[in-house]
Amino acid sequence: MRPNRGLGFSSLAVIGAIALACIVAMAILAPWLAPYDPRLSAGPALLGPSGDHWLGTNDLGQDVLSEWLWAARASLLTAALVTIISTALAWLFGVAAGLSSRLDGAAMGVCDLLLALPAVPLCMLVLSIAGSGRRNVILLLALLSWPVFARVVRAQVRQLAHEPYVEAAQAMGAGRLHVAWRHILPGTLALLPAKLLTTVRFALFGEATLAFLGLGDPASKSWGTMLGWAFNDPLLFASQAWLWRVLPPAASIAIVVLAVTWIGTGLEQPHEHPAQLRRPSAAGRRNASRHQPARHAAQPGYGQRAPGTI
Amino acid sequence: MKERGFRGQGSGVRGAVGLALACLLLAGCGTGTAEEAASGSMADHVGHVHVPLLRIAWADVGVPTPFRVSTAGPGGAALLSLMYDTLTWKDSHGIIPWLATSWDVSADGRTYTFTLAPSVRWQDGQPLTSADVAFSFAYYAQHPYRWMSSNVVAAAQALDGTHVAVQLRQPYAPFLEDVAGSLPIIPEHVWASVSDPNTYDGPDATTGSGPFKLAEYQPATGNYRLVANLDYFRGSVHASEIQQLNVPNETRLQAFRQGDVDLVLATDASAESMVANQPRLKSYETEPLSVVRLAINTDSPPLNQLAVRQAIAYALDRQRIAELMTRAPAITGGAGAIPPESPWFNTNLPSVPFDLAKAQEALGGQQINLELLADPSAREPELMQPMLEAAGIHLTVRRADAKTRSELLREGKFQLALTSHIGVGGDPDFLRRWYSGEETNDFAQGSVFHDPAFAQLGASEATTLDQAARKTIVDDMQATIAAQLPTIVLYYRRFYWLYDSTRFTPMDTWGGLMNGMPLPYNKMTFLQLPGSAR
Amino acid sequence: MTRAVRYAGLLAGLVVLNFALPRALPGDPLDGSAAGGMSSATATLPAAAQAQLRAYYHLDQPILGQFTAYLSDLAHGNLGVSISRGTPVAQLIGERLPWTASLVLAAVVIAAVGGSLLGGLLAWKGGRLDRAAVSAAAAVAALPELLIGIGLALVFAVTLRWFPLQGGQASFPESGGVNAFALLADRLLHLALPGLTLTLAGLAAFLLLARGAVAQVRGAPYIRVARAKGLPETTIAMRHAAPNAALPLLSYSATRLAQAVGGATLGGAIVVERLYSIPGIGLLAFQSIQARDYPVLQAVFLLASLSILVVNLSADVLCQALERRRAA
Repeated sequence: MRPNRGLGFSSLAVIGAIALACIVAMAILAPWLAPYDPRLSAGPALLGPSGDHWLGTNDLGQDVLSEWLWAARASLLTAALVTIISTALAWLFGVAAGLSSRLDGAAMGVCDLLLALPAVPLCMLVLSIAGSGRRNVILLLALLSWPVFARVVRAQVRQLAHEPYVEAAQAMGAGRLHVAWRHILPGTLALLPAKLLTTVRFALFGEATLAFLGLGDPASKSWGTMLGWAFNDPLLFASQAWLWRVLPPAASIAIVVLAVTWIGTGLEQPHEHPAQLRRPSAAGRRNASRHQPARHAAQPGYGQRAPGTI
Repeated sequence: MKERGFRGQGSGVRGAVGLALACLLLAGCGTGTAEEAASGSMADHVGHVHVPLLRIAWADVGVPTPFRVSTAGPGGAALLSLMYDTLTWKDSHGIIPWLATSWDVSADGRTYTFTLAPSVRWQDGQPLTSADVAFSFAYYAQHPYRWMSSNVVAAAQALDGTHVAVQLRQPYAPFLEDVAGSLPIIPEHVWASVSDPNTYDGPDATTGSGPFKLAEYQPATGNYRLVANLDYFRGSVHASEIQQLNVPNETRLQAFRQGDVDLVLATDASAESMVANQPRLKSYETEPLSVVRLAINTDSPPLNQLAVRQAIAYALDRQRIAELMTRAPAITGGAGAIPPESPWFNTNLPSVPFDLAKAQEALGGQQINLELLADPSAREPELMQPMLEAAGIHLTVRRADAKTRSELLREGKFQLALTSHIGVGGDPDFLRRWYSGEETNDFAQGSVFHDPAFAQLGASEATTLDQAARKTIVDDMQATIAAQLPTIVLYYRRFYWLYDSTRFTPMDTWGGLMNGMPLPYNKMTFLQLPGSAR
Repeated sequence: MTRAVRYAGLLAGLVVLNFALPRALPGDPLDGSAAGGMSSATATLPAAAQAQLRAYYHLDQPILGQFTAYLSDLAHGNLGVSISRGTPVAQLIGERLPWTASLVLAAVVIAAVGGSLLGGLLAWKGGRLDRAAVSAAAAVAALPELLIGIGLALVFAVTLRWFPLQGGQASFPESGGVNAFALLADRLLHLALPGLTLTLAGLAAFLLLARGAVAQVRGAPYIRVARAKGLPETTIAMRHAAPNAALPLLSYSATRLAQAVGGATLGGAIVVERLYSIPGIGLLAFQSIQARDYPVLQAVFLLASLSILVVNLSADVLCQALERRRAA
């Protein structure tokens, strides 16, 4: 075990959490912090940053700072809910499919169906029928984003299921749920940062994409739609206005994605093998070898069992 | 040949990424025309200068035949106008003879007899005769031209080699401009044997008589290459080659600045700053032939009340909306949907000023809720919401893509619809067609207005051939719209074309190209007409 | 066997859904406009032209008749004719598939291989570099494709002029004297920036996945045993660690690959294809959705479904083989 020197991932996770907390706080306090009504055309268009408008004004003369603060609410809410729902579904389906061959066919069938269906027309259809409120957008984005990682988690679970400590636990007669919770789940946490990154990204940009298909919630603006409106302007780069129109939303999305990724890498225990972490099971392993002497005798030592033979 | 190498002197990638990007960006925008300035002393007027190549930035407009060209936007019809000819055409002053050197109208206004120019040839060398003209009308009756309806034509008959008589179902004032001036004449020897023009792909499918021949169309990339027709009947073509390239909006202006294209469209006035102080690059603003307006469903309460429609008109600060959207002086006059610089504009229209008190008064203090249907990328609704809110009108914005909008509008499932389109600069018969339901194109979407007097005016406008008498009727129609408000004009827009003045000279067309397109590449700008003053 | 049945059932269901989905969307292929090149201008199609085209494309028939006609056409290998372009669908797809194949697939493959190797290596070595690389990759991936693309275009095309600004190839190569090598070089030059954009946007996920997977096996007992046996570090990494870490990566790569072929996702490939004017399948699908071009949509969605199913099926089989050999 290498000692964590300098800024380790866990300290990065703390930094990420603090950054995220700050942005969340600003979003919550938006009504009190925002200097202007974000809907009101408060000044001339495309004004640079000044004392009156700290982040300048956009093409409609709206105050970019106020716009940004209010947009943070929509963006964070969408990102958080989509990520939570999607991650929960991915793990639920992935672990179930990986552990149970009976559930595997059905779970992967649903995955493949969702993956194979064209997302854009599906969104258009569902949202035009169900209405394009924020709740529906969130549910739809969550629904679309879980299958990829359900497959990934399943692959990891199937690999873990063959790990000796898992087989040992199973052999000991540990309940399926217990095995899944204590032995399989921790081993899949290494996939979490990638899942968080892709899903937060997908949620924030997917929502904006939907908005520009006319499928967003027209009542609320998000960082994604702020970017979308900026890029909608063919003359965005003709002046310096892109500096205050593009950078604030883009940078805050980057900060959120980065923070979430750091937090995710803090949740996993990267440099330690689960076998060591679940120390109590060391005794279990001894028991296990007692229960399954034949198998272990046939394959003495983990080194040879490693798929180095492949 | 494109030169390579570093052009923005003194700017390198240094410091933070964002800062460096900013530096590079500014370098990219600020320098780079020193060489161009040096060579910019070439003749300002392209008129008589031979141009080897003109590259126009546009989108893919599909296979350029009259039966397959894309109907999304005017680009397809404009491209066809370079390859094909029409019986009449328009210059900057009005309708002029083109394939037809002259025409006679019968006393009842139902028969036009055209005399064709002698010795016109198709691009494959065959002579263009009156039979081709008669055939074109007959063929379009079966396989309609995708851009303009020729329904009004009952029959066409070749009288002799150079005379053709076109019989109309009823007298139709816009015939010469909208039909004879828009319908591409097609070769009989190509199309007579084609039963399925929707897919016809033969090598002769694009044979026209126009000043340019299609040399190549890349369907995948959407790029076109046209070469000059050296045997053109109206004079010599002084641009050897025109390329229409598919360049996305995002990079169009950069491509122009970089010299990858020579003519681009920009939709707001701030583009003009890009060519300031650059002798070779110029900008050209068109007449305001594009309108942004609210279509109102006058069947849907409370919009069936004139007072509510007036309240909306009073509550909207159209001046501010127009200035923010066009980044130019606002053009908000013309409540009759005909733009102020059109020859058909009624100069005596009363204008509805921005007046919050009057708006509240018109509503009688009541609060109302309205839904506005708009394109997802439309910016105006966000400005309108607070303005209407102040007057007591709560506006819900429903965004939907073009096809969804079309369906909702067609079925009348809307209250207000924001629409933005061209086609208001040409012949004013569109006013009648919008509200009589005869116009199936998008410009008419959401037109709901049951006013017998207006319908009456429209019927006589369409059949009145006397220009002055017709103008009076059209004035009345505009006055009716301005008073009854079945549509509220927010503002008119100009288009801004940036061009390389050594390769292109923009040209004004009376009322816009064909049925009112604000495009500066009228084919006449590529021609050296014998004896012309150009 | 059951898997074959399951995939066949899925495919049949998808054929039906892919037929029904476009038709269930509000709007009509011949009514009104699709967004054109100029936002302010809308399409015009005279009533007579509309009626004539409606009959031509059998849109005047009842839905069941349309479906049986579609099935019988499909059985004969006929994908129909695009409504918005008047071009046979097979030709459209044939023109675009090579671009998608060369650009999007290359980007996915580069991101997958590069990201995995980099992530694996970083996790193997660990330390400061690992954290810096993960953070950098995540920060880049946090930007939308459009921003990455425009940034690259501004720096490398507009300012430095190393690469062309847009297009899949020179718009009209000089006639004559164009050899295959020059054409290839020209295309590579044109595809560099869009490829880089897509690669950068997709890299982080692979990097993080590989990092996690390798970290997972890094401390595993069999690795320590191998190390104790004094095996060279590369051998341990390549022969012991990599295969164990490969399963989740393989699964993720497969899905990304299939999605890339399919287009019509909410992903950024369409944005990049549009920004750089690359005539790919994603852009075709997107434009066809806007135009409600049923025949094109059916065919593109079928292609997407097929590629997802085939790729996932093969990934399944491959994973199973891996597992079996491990268990053996």
